[in-house]
Amino acid sequence: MWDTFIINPMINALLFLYQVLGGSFGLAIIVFTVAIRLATYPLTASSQKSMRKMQELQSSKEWLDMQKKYAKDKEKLQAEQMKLLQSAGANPIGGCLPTVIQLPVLIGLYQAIGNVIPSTPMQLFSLSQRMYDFFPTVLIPLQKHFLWLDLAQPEHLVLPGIPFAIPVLAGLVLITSWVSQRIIPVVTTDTSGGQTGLIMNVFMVFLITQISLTLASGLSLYFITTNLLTIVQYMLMGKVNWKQVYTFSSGAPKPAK
Amino acid sequence: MYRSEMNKKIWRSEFRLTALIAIGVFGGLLTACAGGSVNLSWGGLAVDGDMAYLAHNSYISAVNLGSGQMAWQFPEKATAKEFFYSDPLIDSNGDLVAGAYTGAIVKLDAGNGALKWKLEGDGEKIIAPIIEGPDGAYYASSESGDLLVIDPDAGTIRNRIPLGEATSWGPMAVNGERIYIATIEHKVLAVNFADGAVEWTVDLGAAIAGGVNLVDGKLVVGTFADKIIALDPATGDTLWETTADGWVWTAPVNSGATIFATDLGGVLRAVSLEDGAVLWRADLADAIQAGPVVDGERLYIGTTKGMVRAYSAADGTQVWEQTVKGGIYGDLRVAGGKLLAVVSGGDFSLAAFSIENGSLVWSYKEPV
Repeated sequence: MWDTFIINPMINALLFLYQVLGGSFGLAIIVFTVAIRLATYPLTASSQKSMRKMQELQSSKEWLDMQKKYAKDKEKLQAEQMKLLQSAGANPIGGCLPTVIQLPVLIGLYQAIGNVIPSTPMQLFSLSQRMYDFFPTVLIPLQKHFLWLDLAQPEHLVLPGIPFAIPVLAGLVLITSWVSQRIIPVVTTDTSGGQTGLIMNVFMVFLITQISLTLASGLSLYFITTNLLTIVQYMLMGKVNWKQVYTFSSGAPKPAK
Repeated sequence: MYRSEMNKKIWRSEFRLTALIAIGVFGGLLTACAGGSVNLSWGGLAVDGDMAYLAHNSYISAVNLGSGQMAWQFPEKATAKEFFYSDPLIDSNGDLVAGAYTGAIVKLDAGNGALKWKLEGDGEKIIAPIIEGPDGAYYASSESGDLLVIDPDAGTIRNRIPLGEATSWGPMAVNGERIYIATIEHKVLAVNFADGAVEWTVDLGAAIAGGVNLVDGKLVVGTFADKIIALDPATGDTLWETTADGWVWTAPVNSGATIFATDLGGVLRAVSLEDGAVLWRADLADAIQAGPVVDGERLYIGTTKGMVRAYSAADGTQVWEQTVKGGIYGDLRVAGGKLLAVVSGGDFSLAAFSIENGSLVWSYKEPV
């Protein structure tokens, strides 16, 4: 089921793009990522709408007054805040659901990339069983080189005169992941929520970077593209919180004194 | 009211935990996939005297043909980083030579598995079987595109013959003058043994994974464009071609003037070596990656779903059928009255079947 409805269509979509883009698998991954982002845009948009609503509430007089009024009673404060959120139709976890839904897409894409650019002969056999019949077999073997990258292998750039290899792509993944996660305005009802968000940001950034260091660089290309798309999207919306990029603060509202 | 707030708090903290677990599971799924599975390769097999030599996953094992008992194993403790695809070579001195996917090449004493030398290589993956040239040197086709000429005594690279973009996965063919190499990059090349010059190259328009076979003055190959093609070994000109029902993964084999080819469409074909005319065909439900093996009047095949069948080579009549758990991807062998098959993803790695009725005589599994 997973293979038939997720992996195989993704593999064949990548093959189609590879074919129409003149045999560049790097370009195929980039265009495919853009297409995935467009397809999941309704989910992202609803998440952003929910977050905007939360932000507006957090900066409202009513919210700030509430923080002052119940500064010494955290439980009461949270209860009142939840009441306010509910009455405004805002969902504090509305922003997370689309991210969770995108996880299967990401796992599917990872498996698709691994199958389309086989790094072992066993994987090429697997590809042969997944390719739709209308693709010409002249496409095989796929050109897995893009710029200086072997898309089927982890990337390490070797420069003349430097005695060690540099993981350029993993570095770019680290930077773009951090920026794309930190520019998003923090939406939380309390300080602990902001700290949890910060921990998740750091954890996710290091996880993705570790993946980029060890797995096929084609996946890193996906991460960088999708991160850049997130950054551009927020920049166009004018909702970027650049200050948060340079700090390790949780970004959560400080309790009123 | 209080209970309701407590529930909300508990729910929120559970959500945070769930989110962290989801991220962890996601990371785990991705990295677990990178760790590789137990079946790293389809394995290679060689037979000499009363021993079968299995190069599968990270081990080379010597297995007694009569009993199925392991005589020795190399290395004692393997790492998943080094694994074998190709059939080991038993050279003219009876030593065993095998190339690994990491690019390493080992020469072992076939009697006891003692390491004679190891060429670490430079990460140039060795998938095609290594051959022994008429000059006694070993020839290894690597993924780098170079044909490596290896000193058989010192285990050092004596020469590199550049072949351009040429990734060879299947067996090379040799005659007195030339070595023939088929590549994933759609080409067949003829290299002169004397000076290492590439005499001719032909592009067949599709990948060739199964190497090339030299049969009665004709080179025969199978391609991913569903073709079985015969070439003139002197010029590379196409003599004839026949259409298959799927990717032809291995080079056809022959019995007299008939060649036999399998394909991923699940068809076994007998084809006239003279003109490529199809003499008979047998249709199976499973993809067939492994090449067939002919022994006298019998022909044996194995499928990727673990089915083994015996046919009459003359007319394609099925003689017996047996199924084991796992898939058969590497070529089969007949030795000591048994049919040997390397099995991937099953309960064992090497199976010996009776050639008379297909019953399983013994099985062997190398350590995980």
